This record gives sequence, C-alpha cells and structure tokens, in this order.
Amino acid sequence: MTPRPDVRSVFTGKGAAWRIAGAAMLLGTLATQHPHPAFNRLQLKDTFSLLPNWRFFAPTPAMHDYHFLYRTLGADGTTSPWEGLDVIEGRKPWQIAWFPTRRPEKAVFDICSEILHVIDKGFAVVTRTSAYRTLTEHLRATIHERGDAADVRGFQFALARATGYDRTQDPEMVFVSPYTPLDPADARRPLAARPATTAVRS
Amino acid sequence: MKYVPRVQFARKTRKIASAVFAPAPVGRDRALGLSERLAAATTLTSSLEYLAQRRQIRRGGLNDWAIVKDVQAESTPLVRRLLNAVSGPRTTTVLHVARAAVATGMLLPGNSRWRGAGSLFLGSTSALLYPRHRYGTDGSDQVAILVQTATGAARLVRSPQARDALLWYVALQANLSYLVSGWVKLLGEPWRDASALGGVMRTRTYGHEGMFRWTRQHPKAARYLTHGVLALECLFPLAYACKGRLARPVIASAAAFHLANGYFMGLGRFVTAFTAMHPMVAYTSAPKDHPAVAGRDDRALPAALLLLAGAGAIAAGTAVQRRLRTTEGWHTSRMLTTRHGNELQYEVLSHGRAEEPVLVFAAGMVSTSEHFTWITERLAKETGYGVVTYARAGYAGSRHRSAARFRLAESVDDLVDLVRLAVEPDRKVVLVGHSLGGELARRAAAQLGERLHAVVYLDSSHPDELNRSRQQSESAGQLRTSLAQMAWYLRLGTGVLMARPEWVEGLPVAYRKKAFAQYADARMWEAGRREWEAVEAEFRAFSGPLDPVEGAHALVVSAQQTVDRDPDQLLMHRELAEAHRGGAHTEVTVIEGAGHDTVLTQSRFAHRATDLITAFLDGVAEVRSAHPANPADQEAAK
Repeated sequence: MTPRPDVRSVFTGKGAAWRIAGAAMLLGTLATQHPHPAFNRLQLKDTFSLLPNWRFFAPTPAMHDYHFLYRTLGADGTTSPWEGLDVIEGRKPWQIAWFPTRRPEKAVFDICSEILHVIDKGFAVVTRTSAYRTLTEHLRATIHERGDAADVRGFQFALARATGYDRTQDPEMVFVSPYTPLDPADARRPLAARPATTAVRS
Repeated sequence: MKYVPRVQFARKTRKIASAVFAPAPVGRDRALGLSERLAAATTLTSSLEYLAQRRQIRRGGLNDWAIVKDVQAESTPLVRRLLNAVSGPRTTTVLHVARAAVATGMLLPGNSRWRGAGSLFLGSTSALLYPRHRYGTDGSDQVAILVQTATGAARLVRSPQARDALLWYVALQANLSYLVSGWVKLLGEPWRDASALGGVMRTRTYGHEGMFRWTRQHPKAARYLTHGVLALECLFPLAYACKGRLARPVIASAAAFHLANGYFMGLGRFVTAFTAMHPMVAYTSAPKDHPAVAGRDDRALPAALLLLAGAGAIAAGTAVQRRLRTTEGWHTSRMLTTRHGNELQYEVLSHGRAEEPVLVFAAGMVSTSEHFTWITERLAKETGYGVVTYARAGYAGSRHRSAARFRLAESVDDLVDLVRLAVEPDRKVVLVGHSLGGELARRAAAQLGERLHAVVYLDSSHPDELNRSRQQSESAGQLRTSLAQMAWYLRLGTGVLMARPEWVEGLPVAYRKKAFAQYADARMWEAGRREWEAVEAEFRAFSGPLDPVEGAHALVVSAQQTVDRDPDQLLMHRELAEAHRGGAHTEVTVIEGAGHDTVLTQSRFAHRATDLITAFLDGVAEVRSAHPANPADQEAAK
C-alpha cells in the first residue's frame, strides 16, 4: 500500500508551487459554480475567464430560441412589416466539425440573456447595456446593408421567444424596444417605450 | 448454429469484461501529447470559425469592440490597455491567423519542450481574446484555456512532480466539470422530471428536429436517457473506484456523450475540448503500481482537499461574523417585547419636537430597516419629527418567539405594540410603510385609532395584488422557491461567495456593512419565507374593497417602474388613498424613474420621497391649523 503523504509534504518539496496553484484554481473554480446568480463575487473579478463555468444547461436548461424582429419607419411616415433578424441556422450534420455561425447564434443568445437580466429595471437601464447598444448598432448596419437606408428614418426591434421545432406553441413577445433613429446623432434619447404583452406568430 | 461449450463462453465473457472493466493506463508523456493535440484542434477550429465570421468584430457586428469595451470600465487601467491592444479588428484577425498556424503545428508529431510554448501561446491568447469576443464565447473556450495553460506549463517544467501536479489539476477539473454539471442539474425541475431533453432538443439553437420527435415518440426511453446522462455526470469520479477498473467505461461513455452533443446539439468544439481532459483522467485513475504510471506523484489531490477544508473554515467564520453583525444592532438599539412574545429591536433616531408626530418606519419583506436610511437621516436631522425604525420579528436582532402559526396580524400587532411601548403616549404617529410594510401600516390603523396621524405608503403592497395582477400572481411560486433556496444556501455557509448587491452600494456608506450582513445571513430570508407564506395565503383569500381607514391622512407614493410594469398597481395604489375617509387629506404621486427598491436605496429617489413626505405633512399641518376641529373643512380645503 502507498504510504499517505503527511500534510507538510503536500505543500513542500518538488512541485509544491504547482500543487498549491492548482489547488487554488480548483477552489476558485468551485467557488464560481454556485447555482444562484447572487453568489457571484469571484465571477465578477474573472475578466479573462480563467475559472470555467461548469454549470452547462443547469439548473434550468434553455428551452426556447430567441429571435429578434425589427421594423423600420420610412421617411414618408409609413412603418414596414416586422422582419426577422434570424441568425439561427438549424442543425446540419457537418456542424460537428465546422460551424462558424455558431458564434453569432450564441452571441444573439448572450445578448438576449443580458437584456432579459436587467429588463425589470426599466428601459433607462436596458438601453445603457452593451448588449442593447450592440444590437441597435447591428440593426443600423443591417439596414444600411439593405441599401434603402436613405428612405428610413428609424427602426424599432422586438425580442420574441419561440419553441423551435415544437410548433404547438405560439411565439411570445418578450419586449419591444423604443423607436430608435437610424442616424446615431439623433439617438440621444429614445422617444417611447412600451412593454410587450401580445403573442405573435413567426 | 455453431455449438459453444459453456466453459468457453464463460471464458470469453470474462475476457470481454476484463478488457472493458480495466484501468486505461496512459503514461505521463502520452497523456500530455494527446491532451495538447485535442486542445489544439479545438483552438484551430475556433480561430478558423472566427476568421470566417470577421464581420462580427467590425463596426455593427455582434462583437464591436467600440461598444463591448465599456463592460471593462471597472477593470484596472493596465487590463483595459492590454485588452485594447489585442481587440482592434486587425490585431484580432492577426492573432487568430497566428493561433490557427500554431494550433496546426501542435497537431504534428513530436515531444519537444517547445510544444509547451505553443500551448501557452494558445491558452493565453484564448484568455486575452475572451473579453473581446464577449458575445458568443462558450465552455469549449474555457476548457481550452485551462488545458492549454496546464499542458503548456507541464511541458516546460522539469520535475516530474511539478508535471504531475499540472496533470492532476486538469484531471480534477474534469471531475469537477461533470460533478458540478450533474449535481446542479438535479436542482432544476426539468432535469428531475426529464422534460429537459425534449425541451432542449426542440430549440433550433441547441436542438435537433429528429431527436426532438424521438423524445416525443419514446418518452420512456427519453427519460432513461436523460437520467442516464445525469448519472454519468454525477458519478463520473467512479472512474477512480476499484483501482481504476471503471475508468474505461466511464471515459468512453463521457466521450460518447460529447460526440452525441456534437452531432445533435452542434457543439462540435466541445468534443475535442472535453476529451482533451480525458487523457489526464486516464493517467491519474490508473493504479499507482501500474508500470505505465510508475512514480506518479499524487499529492495534488490532498493539496486541493486541504485548501478546500481551509476555505470551508473561512466561509464558516464569515457566516458567524455576519450573524453577529446582523443581530447585535447599533449601539443605540433598544429592545421591547410585544404581546406575542416577539422581541423587537428598534432605534429612536430622533425624539423630535414634542408637538410634532413621530414617524415609525415599517420595512418591506426581505428588507432591512437600513433601507430607509436616506429618508430617516434627513428627517431626523432636518425636521422636528420623531423618527423610529425597527426590525420585524426574525429580522436583524429581533426575535420571533411566538409559537402560533404565523399570520400577518401578528406583525400588525407587533407594530401597534411598538408604537405603544416606544412612542410617548401623547404623541401622534405617522406610519411609513414600504411594500409589505405599507400593508401592515394600513391594517394597524384600526388599532391605533386617534393616535394615528397619517399613513405614508411607499410603493406599497395591496392585499388584492395577487388576484388582480397576473404578473405578480405568476411570479409568486418562483419567489417562494427562491426564498427557500436563499435560506438554504446561506445556512450552508456559502454567503462568503455573495457580491454586494447594487442596492447596498446605493445606501449611505455607514450603513452598508450592516445591511449587507443581513442580506448575506439566512435569518432575513427565513423571516421572509415565513412572511411570504402568510402573504400568499391571505392575499389570495382577499376579496372585496379595502376596510375604511377613518381619520388618518394618507400619502401614497408609487415607483414609476412598478406602475409601468403593472398598470393595475397604480389603480390599487389609488384605492389605498381612497380607503382613507372621515375628512382625511390624501395625496397620490409617482416618483419618475424609481423602482420598487430604488425608491429607498438610490439617494435621488429617496430624497424625492423625503421631500414628498415633509411637504405632505406640512400640508396637513396647514389644513389643520386653518380648520383645527372640522374634518369636513379639511376635506374642502384640499
């Protein structure tokens, strides 16, 4: 039988510094796995994500897809129909080896999560988040890329959640953004905000 | 069919079993080589995928650094400079090209120490670019960072003991990854009832249409599969049991699990990332007397356990400190015992002028009396009103002694007894209640009779809110679970992991420590749970109009976010004011921008609330001095 190491030998001798460093990292990792988000003292300091998050799909898995929709306000005052900003590709066999659009898919998912995390604090807080600003700039760029930006004064977007391949349930609108001018110079203050209460069909 | 003698069959079965149930001995160098190559394959795919999606890092992309960098506003200047240096679109692109080249090189044969530099380069650049690609990063990036930094260092260190410490580190992280993922899943209802598999598979983001249909058509098999995955994750360390005999089936099952996730969920990078940790599990789970792992240094595990024990002691010490800070009160705190035997801790912040009323503050559920400090400090220093705050039974240093089943009436009686015992008998009283405190104040009015001068409702509860507000009714169950969980987490001593919430940071500096101690101590959550149980039962049973409150004036202050989110709440707040009759002076107002808690905890909203309270009481005083005896005149004077 292998003799048990005494306590002192664990922290001394060859490799001691690496054992201590490894143990500290393991402890740090364990400390960031708390199931409740309020227990996040260490995560807040982990800028470089050196402490991995092992709570994949736990305790509650993501069981919805998030979709962004947007509509534009034309120079003539007319509103376009809602259009989807769909980055979700759907499953293909080769994605196990090559799936570059996974990143934007996950990015949209992360942006939604960040917005939903603060949605209770009101639009004044939501519009200051980097997620919201990223999304508005992304929509601005998308509208410019379409080529009809000259006829567009501004836009509004909505976040809906849907049950994907389960078509027995209707998508739900989670929130509707304030009207946002297309020209960022006019975008100092949103004009209106209203929470969504209605369901929409995709 | 060929006849197989029984002895031969038994021999074959034993042979298969001994091949399956056997350690997976991998030598130190082989484990290192396999691991760094699998991690390099993860990085190669990752960087190539980023390069294929370069537009996402430009202006208007989903990771536009001009916007995303603002998240780092709290980081140190040095970290911000470092991140800025690597996050320009051109530099990021160059780094990804370099990473792809180095990762390709790492896939080549060889055993040189230079490979360590390659792994360290990949690991450190993954970490550096992580904040830059804020939206869209995932667990495979984190695994790559940890495997590459550990294997890189393991290549460069000279002593086998140091190398073993690093290999053990990766192996223990692998065990932790499965354990945490499995056990935390058990806290979620969808995993326990096995609806999670179908729930995830139905999404287009992480699901698979065929698999989703299969879960629908074969619910029983889907349940076995879900619980099988949970069992694999929760019991992963069994790889170390029976002298490593279970290592092969456990590692093979985990690898198959990742392959399935890669195919059905589109998590391809996770396959190479997680299996990169498996060689270390194989190396460390082989029995020490196996020739492949001869001389292995296993002291990393006791080192981790000893550090864990030390951290547990620190956590327990912190919990004890917080409990003491929570219950000891302030040096000016006083105690009284109510008719229910409850002991209340209270503060007389100001006696005020004898002719002025005394304001008694009642906090909301899962709140502290320190929530009122912006308001009470100003009222105590700038006005002649008496100011009293207290902690309800179970909160701070107040003890809940009553053995009877808790009902809100008990808290109402406690509040009335506080007024009777802590306020001079000839002084009038203004009850100021926030949230549930408002409802307690409304109910206390009947017992206080003429002593009650006014009630100030600060974003108050209304007894019909669970029946009339769908949103509040729906979130009730969630709140019940959340309160119970918080109490448990804190009882287990994990409060040391709590960060100071925004509302604590919003309070005046002198009160933050004590408010945070209460928030991070189980007592407040236990008291809140007891109260919420009564609130839910009594509010759901409420019917009919509010009982009239005779004679007492009323100021109803709503927080804009509360009424924006739920327009019914504004109607209910109006009803609170309308319940005050008999010539009472009533005002209803909304504080723009304020939230349910920030109306107290953010100084600008709290100062606005203070101004409203003083203006309201001044207004009442003016009306009374103009029409001292006639309530009807007071009403007319409004």
